[in-house]
Amino acid sequence: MRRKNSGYAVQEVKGDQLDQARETNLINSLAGKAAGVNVTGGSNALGGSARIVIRGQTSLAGDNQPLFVVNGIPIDNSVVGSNQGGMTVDYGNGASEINPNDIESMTILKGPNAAALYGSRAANGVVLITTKSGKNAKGLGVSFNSTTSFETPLKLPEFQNEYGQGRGGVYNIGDGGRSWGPKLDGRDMKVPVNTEYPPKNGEVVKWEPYPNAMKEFFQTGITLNNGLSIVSGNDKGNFRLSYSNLNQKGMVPNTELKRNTVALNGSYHLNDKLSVTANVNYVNTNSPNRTVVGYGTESTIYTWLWEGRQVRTDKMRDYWFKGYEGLKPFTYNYSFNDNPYYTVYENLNAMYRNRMYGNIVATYDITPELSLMLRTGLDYSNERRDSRRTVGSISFPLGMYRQEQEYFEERNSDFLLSYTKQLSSDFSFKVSAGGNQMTQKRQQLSNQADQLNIPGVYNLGNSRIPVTVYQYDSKYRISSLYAFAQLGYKSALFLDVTARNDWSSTLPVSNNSYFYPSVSLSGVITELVPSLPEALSFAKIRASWAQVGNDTDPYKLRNVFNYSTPWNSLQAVTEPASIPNANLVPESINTWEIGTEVKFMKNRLGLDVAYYDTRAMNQILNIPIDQTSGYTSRYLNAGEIRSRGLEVVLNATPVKVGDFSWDVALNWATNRARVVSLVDGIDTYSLASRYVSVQARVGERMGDMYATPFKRDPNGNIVHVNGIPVEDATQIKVGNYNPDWTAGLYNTFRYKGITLGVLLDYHRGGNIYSYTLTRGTVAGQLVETLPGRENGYVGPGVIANGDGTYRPNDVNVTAERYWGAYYNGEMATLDATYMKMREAKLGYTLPNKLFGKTGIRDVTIQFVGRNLFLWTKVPHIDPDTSGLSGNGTFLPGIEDYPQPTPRSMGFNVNFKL
Amino acid sequence: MKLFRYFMLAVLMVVTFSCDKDLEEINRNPNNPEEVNPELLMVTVIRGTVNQMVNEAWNTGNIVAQYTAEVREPGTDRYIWTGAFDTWSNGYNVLRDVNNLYVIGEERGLNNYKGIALVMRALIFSRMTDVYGDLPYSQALKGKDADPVYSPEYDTQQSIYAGLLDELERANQLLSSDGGEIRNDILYGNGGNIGDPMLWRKLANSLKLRLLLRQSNRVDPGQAMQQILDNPGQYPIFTSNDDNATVTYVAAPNLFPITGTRIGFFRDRRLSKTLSAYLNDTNDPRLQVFAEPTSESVDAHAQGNGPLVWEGVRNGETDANLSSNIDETVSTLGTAYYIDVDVPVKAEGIVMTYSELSFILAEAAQRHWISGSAEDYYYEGVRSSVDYYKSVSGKSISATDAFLATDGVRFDAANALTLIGTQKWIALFFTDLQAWHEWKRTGIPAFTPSIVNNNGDRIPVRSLYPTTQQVTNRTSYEKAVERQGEDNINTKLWWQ
Repeated sequence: MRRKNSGYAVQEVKGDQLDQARETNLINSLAGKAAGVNVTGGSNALGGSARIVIRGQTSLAGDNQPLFVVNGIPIDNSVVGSNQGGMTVDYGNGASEINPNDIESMTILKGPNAAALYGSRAANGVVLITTKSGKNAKGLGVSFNSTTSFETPLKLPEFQNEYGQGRGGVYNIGDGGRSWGPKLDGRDMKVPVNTEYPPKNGEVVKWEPYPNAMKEFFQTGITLNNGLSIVSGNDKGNFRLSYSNLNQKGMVPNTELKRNTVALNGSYHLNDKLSVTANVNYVNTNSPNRTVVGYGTESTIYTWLWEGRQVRTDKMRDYWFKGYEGLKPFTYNYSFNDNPYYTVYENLNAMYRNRMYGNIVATYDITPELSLMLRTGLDYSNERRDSRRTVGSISFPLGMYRQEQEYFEERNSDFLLSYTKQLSSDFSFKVSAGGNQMTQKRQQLSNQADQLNIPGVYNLGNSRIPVTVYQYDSKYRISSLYAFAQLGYKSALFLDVTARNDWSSTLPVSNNSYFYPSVSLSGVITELVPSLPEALSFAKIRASWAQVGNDTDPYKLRNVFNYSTPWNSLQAVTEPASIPNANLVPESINTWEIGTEVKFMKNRLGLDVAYYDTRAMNQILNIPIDQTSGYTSRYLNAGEIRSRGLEVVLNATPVKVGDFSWDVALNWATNRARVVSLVDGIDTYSLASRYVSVQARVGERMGDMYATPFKRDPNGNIVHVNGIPVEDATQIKVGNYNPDWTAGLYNTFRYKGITLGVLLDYHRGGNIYSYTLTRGTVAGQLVETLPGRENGYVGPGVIANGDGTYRPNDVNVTAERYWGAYYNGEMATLDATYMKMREAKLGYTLPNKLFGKTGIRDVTIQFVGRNLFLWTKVPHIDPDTSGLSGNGTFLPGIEDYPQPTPRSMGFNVNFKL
Repeated sequence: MKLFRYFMLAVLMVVTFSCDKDLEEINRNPNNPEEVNPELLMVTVIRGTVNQMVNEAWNTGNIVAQYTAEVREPGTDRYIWTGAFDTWSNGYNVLRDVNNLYVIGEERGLNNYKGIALVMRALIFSRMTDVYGDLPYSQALKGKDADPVYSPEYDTQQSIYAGLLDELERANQLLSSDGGEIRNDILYGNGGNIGDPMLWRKLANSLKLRLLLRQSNRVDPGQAMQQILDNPGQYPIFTSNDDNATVTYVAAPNLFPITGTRIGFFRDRRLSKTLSAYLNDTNDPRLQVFAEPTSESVDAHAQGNGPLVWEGVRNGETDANLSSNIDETVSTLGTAYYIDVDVPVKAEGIVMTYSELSFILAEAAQRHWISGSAEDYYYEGVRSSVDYYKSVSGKSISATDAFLATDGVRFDAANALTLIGTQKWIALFFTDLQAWHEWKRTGIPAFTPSIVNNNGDRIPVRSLYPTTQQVTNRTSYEKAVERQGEDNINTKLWWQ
């Protein structure tokens, strides 16, 4: 990417930083590395997704994630969820399939200026990836890369270990796994055994805590990643072929993920005017079983947080009742939960996915100044998912089998005519004009047998009741014409203009065309102004302005009826509650940014600062209307969001003595996005709701979280009724999930062949709502629930006298009642400040002479660790998480029973032949 | 070179711009129809309403009317009614399709679908207003009109009742054997799900009697009631259990709604002491359908140590008492409501029964609004209720003479209204929120408020409006609250 003359902020992440850090999801490997790039973990499940947002949120309706472009062609980064809830599996985001081994470089275009090139979807920034090629290869080269790492849970909930299963101090197997039972004092107690069905308390055991029950359940995960590549080239052309194999065993027993990637990149000069480049990537991902995430019976995290504190992990392993194998799973309560071993070994969520993406580019130099490029690209994937539940499962007592098919295809074809002219010795001129057509297809098909006839047979033909079918096909197209030009002066001053016009199928014919321009200016002061102090080795200032238009999703314009569940053979339909709008107009985003880049002391110290101001207007929103109108929302253009921020990148080499050097890369960013307006009469727009509600309110920040708080007296004391805190009816703001600021610090030390690199990632402020805290206290599992166990608890606070005065609360209630009510949306919304050691690596490059004439060279051995340490005040969980809804939408700010973050340690070996 | 020119040409052709017509065609939704036949809305409308009625009985109606009591997290029993009932959101949601049923029926000249739409509309609106009081009615459901209303005004409960009675009158006129075949009728359909317009008329007129009685503290129902009874040809009403408006559930996923919950949730709400006490005292045969004997007594009985015992727990019982071993000592609901996943639940979704109608007429006769014998109507109500539960459960129970002669069952003119109200309460078991509304109107039975509660020992009489009203319809909401009284659970309704 043109860096020297770019009029807007770009930040590059080198390929070797990626393929040595060994993160299997590409997005996670960006965490902490670039200013203004905010990466949030998702469910932490094996192969799971991560969320990336650049420069905050400007869209009320969209996901605000940037566009991923590989070798000039956009690729899909969506998270495709399943259409039915209760079994949310995190199947990962599209970009996680890009193989880090194949990446040459990754450039982050932060502002929307790149939209002229890549279309509206670039409004949230672009992650531009260039894959490795054989470009500089001389003759044949072979390189080999192998990583082995081991994963263990970084953090697990802090349990209480004093009271066992039951309620009100009484042991009870019929009433769920809550731990409000008798004190774990070593007394003799009868517990269920797997030889007695129906469940009965049989075996007498010592009533003792089993503190490591959850920890013992997790095993050490293993990640094996091996890659081999061959490059070759000469002055006519070059090629690169690579194969990678990823084999992961999860921390959750019986979970696994395999990925095979083949990449082929070839380029050839057919003659001195015409060259052709092609690159093809094939990815096969498959898993016999992936974990269910989120709060619900199918998740093992759920199970462990509803398991009596006396339960012994080893006693759960043999999970069938004797004589009822395949029919009745054995567990410690029979009302609400399954046995976690049974869940992971029997209730499988398998997937098999093929994906291919790549493009063919032909460049023809018509004259030395004029060239034509033609390019066509494809991103295609097809996935099959199979979920099965055995007979006897608590939520699917008669078993279940579901088969889903997810098909995706996006084609992009471009032509681009470029003209370059050195106008005079001082002035250069470049102009390009081209066109693009993008066609995207999605097809979803799901068949579900909600009950099985013959236990253990997972085939739709074995359905006991009519199979539930869901099908959704969609297609859309954008045709575009675009142009960009650059005028350069003395290779020091550059003026760039871009323009693009899109025609989108998703908008009404009368409004389907929209135009958006941008302009930017940059000047290298050190070349323009003579005789600056020598300490200043480089200085540049830049300014830019851009506008981007945007369309909407397919099929938002006309009335239709949806299918409803049939009644035996009787079909049923229902009208959607949202009113479509045949008069939508395109959205519009305006942004400007200024920045500077300076380097001192022969580039030993570099500083890059950027400030931006973005306004997103005319957003296509599904605005709530009063339900008594018969409808709950209608589509219209409304709303304005203003997002501003400051980004600082500092690079320094504080020490460089002989063979030793110390490099520091620090990035810092802050962003505030505010809701300027919504629509007349509406001052609140709900963005997401799970346990707490994320709302956009006029004048407030994006990412604000709302919940009903406890009632307070004028002095702020919590008002109690019958000894329990009571909630107010009106929701208040309880937090905001966006951090106040973020910083990433990368220290690298080098001595001869030895390199030590450590990345610290700091998120200051922001909030996370912890559902683990809310439900884990209701369940009596967490340490917070110990006060008042024996003699009851008198909550600090007051009682209303009814005449506006208050008296201190003096009502004693059981700990079970009190803590069961205490951690509501207000109390469980916590300060999410955290620091993480994202990455640490110690590498040694062996001297080539060691290998003599074997041909082996550049041998590097590295020890690598990821997520080694976490410092935070948030109890029980890693605050770097976001919930995931069944349809694949992230719910940032909401912790919803994720898997524990893996702490990964391992080593890798690279060498070339 | 030639090859390259062809390639170039091919790519240029792909890139060639689609005309608007192509783009419009691409955006045509291939998945969903834009127009549908009216019968495709029948399941949606009936199931959507009746499932809600079963759910609100289970979640609130059974508890506040002291048929059941919560034993685990007694929020409803403690009268911590901080959220609005679902009656509103479900009601207006289903009314959208009720409206479509009416409109499509009109477009196609199918009067029976129009009539059914009006009956469903009256059922849903009456259930809603009985929960909240005033609500948007005359301006409601106009979100897609040429002149749309997005924030409708509230109507008074009085005017809603007047409007609904008119709509039931119109439904009675529209429904006829000439009104077109009624398809996909899961309420009154035969084996082929073909509905009978006469049964829908009977429901329309029986509902009308329910509404007339409900507002009788404010509007004298005598003339309107007598008019119905005097003209059975023009105003047919229920005459036996065969006319009952109940939905028989079929195969999954169309099961009795609470079957889908985990078994643990089913055991959370057990028999209330109020119901068990009355039914035990009168040896009521329906008790063995409503509830199971306690597991303690089942074990003892199996060993020859005593009889089966049906025992309830007090509503809003203290934490200390709830902590004792309730699993053993308190009855769960009966196997007609849930046994095990592989045993289909027999209970039906009740809209309105002949038994309820008989009690309506018994009260009307007792108060001399209509001619006829209150005693006859009363016994007809008790008998038909027992018969109904016999047929639903398959248990060999019956309203024997001995039972009918028991104190507390035997008709007694001096105590007639209390007896009628009490037996009606039993007959309205699991019938949405009807028993609670009847208690609000008559104070019968004289419930003791929950032992521990957060409402100053007052049994609530209404639900809060949904909080969304304060966001999306604030002006209308504030006007309504000013007129009706504070939006809390103790503000009385107009007809009370």
